[in-house]
Amino acid sequence: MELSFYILGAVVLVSSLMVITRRNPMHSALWLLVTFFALAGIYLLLNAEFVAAVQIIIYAGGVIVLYIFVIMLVDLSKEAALRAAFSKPRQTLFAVVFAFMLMAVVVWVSLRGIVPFSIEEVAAPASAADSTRAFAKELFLTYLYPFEVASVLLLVAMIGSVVLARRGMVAASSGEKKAR
Amino acid sequence: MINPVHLMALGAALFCIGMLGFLIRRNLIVIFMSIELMLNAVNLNLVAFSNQFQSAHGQVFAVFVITVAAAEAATGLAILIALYRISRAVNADEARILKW
Repeated sequence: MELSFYILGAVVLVSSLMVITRRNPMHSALWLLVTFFALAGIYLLLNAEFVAAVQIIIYAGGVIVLYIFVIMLVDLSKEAALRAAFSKPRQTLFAVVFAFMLMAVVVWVSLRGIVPFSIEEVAAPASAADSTRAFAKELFLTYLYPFEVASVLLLVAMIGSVVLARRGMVAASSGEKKAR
Repeated sequence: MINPVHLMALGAALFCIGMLGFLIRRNLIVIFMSIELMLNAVNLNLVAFSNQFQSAHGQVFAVFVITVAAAEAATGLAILIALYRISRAVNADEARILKW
C-alpha cells in the first residue's frame, strides 16, 4: 500500500511538472489526464472510492475533454502540425501494442474472473460500501443546503458559458470597440 | 497506513507546481490547467484528512471543490473562446483590451 502510494505520488509529481513545462498545450492536457488518474488512485488508497470515481468521471471525462475541445478550437492554424504529430509510425506501433495489451487484460479478466486481493493486508473494516454510505449520509443530511447551492452554481456556470461563448456577444462588443 | 506527512507534502508540492505554472506560463489554457492542479492539491489534502480522522466531511468538501472546478473550467474556457474571437490570441500578455 505504501509502495503504491509512493509510485502514484511520483507519477503525480512528474506528470504535473510535465503539464507546466510542455510547449504544446495538447501535451499539457494529456499529462494533466495522467495526473488526474494517478490522483484517483491515491484517493482509492485513502478509502475515498466515491471521490476517486467522481475524479475520473468529471475531471478525466469532462474537464479534460473540454480543454482538448478548446485547444482544438483555438489552435486552428496548427492543424497541419497536429496531424503530423499524430501520424508518427512508431507512435502508432506503441498505441497498437498497448491497445492489444489492454484488450488482452480485459478478455482475460472477463473469461477467468479476478481473485479479489485486499489493498491493505490488515483487515480494513471500512469497506467501499461503508465509505460511500458515510459520504452519502454527510452529503444529503448535513450538507443538503450546500448541495442545492452547488446545483444552482452549475446552472449559472452553464448559462454563463453559453452566453459568453456565443457569437453575437463578441460581435456586439467588438462593434462597440469599432464605434469608439 | 500511509504517512499523513508524506500525503501533505505531496499536496503541498502539487500546489507549488500548479502555482509555478500559473506564474510562469503565458498561454491562458495552460494557466487554467495550473489552477486545476492547485484545486487537486487541495482535494488531496481534504481526502487525506478525511481518511486520517475517519470522517466523511472531507470527502464531501472534495466533491464540492470538484463541482466548483468544473464550473470554473467551463466559464473560464468560454471567456477564453470569447477572447480568442476578439484578439485571435490565447496569450495572457496580449489580453489587454481592458487596459486603459
